Amino acid sequence: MEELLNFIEKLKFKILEEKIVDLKEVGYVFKVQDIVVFINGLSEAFLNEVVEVLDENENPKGKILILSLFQDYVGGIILKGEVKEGDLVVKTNKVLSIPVGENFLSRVINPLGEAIDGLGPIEASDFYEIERAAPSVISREPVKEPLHTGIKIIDSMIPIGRGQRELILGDRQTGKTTLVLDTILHQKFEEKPIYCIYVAIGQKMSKIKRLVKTLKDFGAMKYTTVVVASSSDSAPFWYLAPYSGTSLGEYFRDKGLDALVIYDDLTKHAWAWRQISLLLKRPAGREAYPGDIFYLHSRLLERSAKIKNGGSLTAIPIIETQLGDITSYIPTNVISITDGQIYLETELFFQGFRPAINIGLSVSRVGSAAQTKAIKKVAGMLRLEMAKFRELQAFLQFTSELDESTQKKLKHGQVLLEILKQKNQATLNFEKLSVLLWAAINGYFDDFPLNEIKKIEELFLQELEEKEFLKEIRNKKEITQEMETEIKDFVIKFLTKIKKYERTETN
Amino acid sequence: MIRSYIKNLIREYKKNKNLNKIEQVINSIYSRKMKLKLLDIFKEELEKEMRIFNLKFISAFPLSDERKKEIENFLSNKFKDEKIKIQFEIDKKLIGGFKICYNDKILDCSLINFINKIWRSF
Repeated sequence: MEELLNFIEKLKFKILEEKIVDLKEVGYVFKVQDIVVFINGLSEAFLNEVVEVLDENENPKGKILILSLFQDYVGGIILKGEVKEGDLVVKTNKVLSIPVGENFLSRVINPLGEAIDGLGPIEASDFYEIERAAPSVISREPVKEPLHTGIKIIDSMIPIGRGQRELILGDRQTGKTTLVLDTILHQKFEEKPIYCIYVAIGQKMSKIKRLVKTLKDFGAMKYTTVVVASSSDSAPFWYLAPYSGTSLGEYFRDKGLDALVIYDDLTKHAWAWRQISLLLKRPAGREAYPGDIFYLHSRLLERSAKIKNGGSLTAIPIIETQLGDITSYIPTNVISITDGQIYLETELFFQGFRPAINIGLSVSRVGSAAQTKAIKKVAGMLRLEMAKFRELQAFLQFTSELDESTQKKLKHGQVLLEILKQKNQATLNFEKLSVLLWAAINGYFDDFPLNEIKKIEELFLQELEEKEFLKEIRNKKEITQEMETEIKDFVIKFLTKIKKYERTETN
Repeated sequence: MIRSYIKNLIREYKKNKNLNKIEQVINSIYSRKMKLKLLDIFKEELEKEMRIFNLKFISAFPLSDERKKEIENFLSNKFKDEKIKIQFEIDKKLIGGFKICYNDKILDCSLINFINKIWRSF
C-alpha cells in the first residue's frame, strides 16, 4: 500500500510540475522577397534555427530557416508554407535537422526528409542536424580500401578509395550522370556493401524519374536513397539538398558502414546560394557569388572521410563546366577541395571514346593507396604505355611512312584505347578487369584489326566467366607468378580458339 | 537600418541635448505616413532606452476595474526596475485564460494554447 501511496504522490508532483504557461519568443514578418523573409523581433534567434510561422488561429502554417542576424531584425529563407507580411513567427529553439535511418533506403525524399515517392511516411531511427561538424583529425584514417566503380579507366588509372572525395567535371551532355549511375549499379556486385545516396539538385523531374526507374530495374534501389531538389523546387531546397544527403550518409558512416554520396550537381548548388545571398543583401564578389562560396563547398565535402576503425563516407561531387573551361570560379574551388578529379571532354565523346574521360587531365591523389594489388600490377604498366602512346600520337596520320617498331607501338596504344572503351551499364569486376588488362598490355590483342577488338573483348570476357583463377584473384586480391602462368595459358588457348574460328569463317 | 539610425540620434541627443537636429530629420521626410511611422519607432526606442515596459494583457472576457488594479500591482512588483504601462485587450479566441505580451515575448496562459498543445501531441 505504501508503494501505491508513493506512486500517487509522485504522479501528483509530476502533474503540478507540468507547465501550463508557455513563454513564446515571437517576431513579425515585415518583408517578404521571393524566398527570403525579414522578421522584426526574435531578438534571441540563433543561426540555422527553424522558426514557425503561425496562422490566425496560432497553428503552424510554415517554416523559416534563420540565416542572417541583424541588430533589430533577422533574415531567413522559407522552407515550407506561405508567408505574408505581418505573420506571427515563433522561435522553436531547434536547429534544422532531418530524420535518418535504414528505412530511407530504396526511397525518394526531399531535403527535409519527407517521402515524395507516394509510398507513405518513413519511420526514422534518429535525427541528424543538417549542418554538422566534420570529423576531427584524430578520428580520421588514411584511405585504404578501394571503391570499385566498375569503370575500366577509373578503376585502373584514377582509382577511388572509400572515404575519398573525387570530383567529376565536364560540359553538358558528356556522360557525367551516366558515369555515377553506373557506379551505383556496380555496387550490387561488391562483397562489402556500400550504401548510396544520390542527391539531385535542380534537375528535371523526368530525368530523376528515369534514373529511379533504371535503379529499380537493376535492383540497385535496395541500397540507394535519392534526395531530390528538382528544378521546380525553390532555391532553399537546392541549397539544403547536399547537406541533408550528407547527414543521411553520416548515419551509415557513424554506424561503421560505408556510404557513397553523389552530388549532381554542385554548380546549381552554388547558383542557389548565390541567389539566396543576393536576396539577403550580402555583398557580391567574383561572378556575383558571395564571399563564403568556398566555405559553402568545403564544409560540405570535408564531412566525407574515413573514420578510424569505423565506417567511411565517400563523396563524388559533379560540376558542369561551360565550353570546357575548368579555370572558372566554381570548378577551381571544388578542384582544390577534392582529392582528385575526373575530367570528361565533349571532343572525346563525339569521337566515340566513351566514357569520354581525358586521361591526361584526370588524377586521383589518394586512391592509389587503396588499389588492390592485382590491379596495381597492371595499372602501373598501363599508365606507362598510355604515356608512350600519347607522345607518338601526333604521328598517327603518317603511319605508312613510319618504321615498323613505331608502327607497332602505335597499334598497341590504339588497341589499349579500344579496350578502355566501355558501354553504359556494362561494368566490370576488378578480377576480370585485371586479367583483361594483363592480356591487352602484354600485346595479345595487337594482331587483330581495331574494329574487331570490341567483339573479341566480349568473347574473352564470356570465356573468362567462372574460371578458377578468378576466384583466387578475388580472395587474394593479387596476381601471383603462378596465377600469371595460368592466365597466360588461358589467353593462349583462347586466342588459338578464336583464330581457328576465324579461319573456318573465312573458308 | 532605420532603428540603428534612430538609436544613434538618441545617443547624440544625450550628449548635446539638441532637439533641432531631430526635428530636421523628421521634417526632411516628405511622406506624412512615413513621418508617423518614424515617430512610432522613435517612441519605441525611447521607451526601451528609458526602460518603460509596454505590456499588453489580453483576456478572453472583460475584466473588472478591481481585477485590473490587482494585475497592475502584481506586474509592477514583478518588474521592479522598470516602469510599466499596461494595455488591456479582449480576444474571444482565447476561450479562457490570458496572454501577456511584451517586447518580442508572449507569456501564453490561454485555454486555446493548451488545447492546441494537446491537439499537436496526437
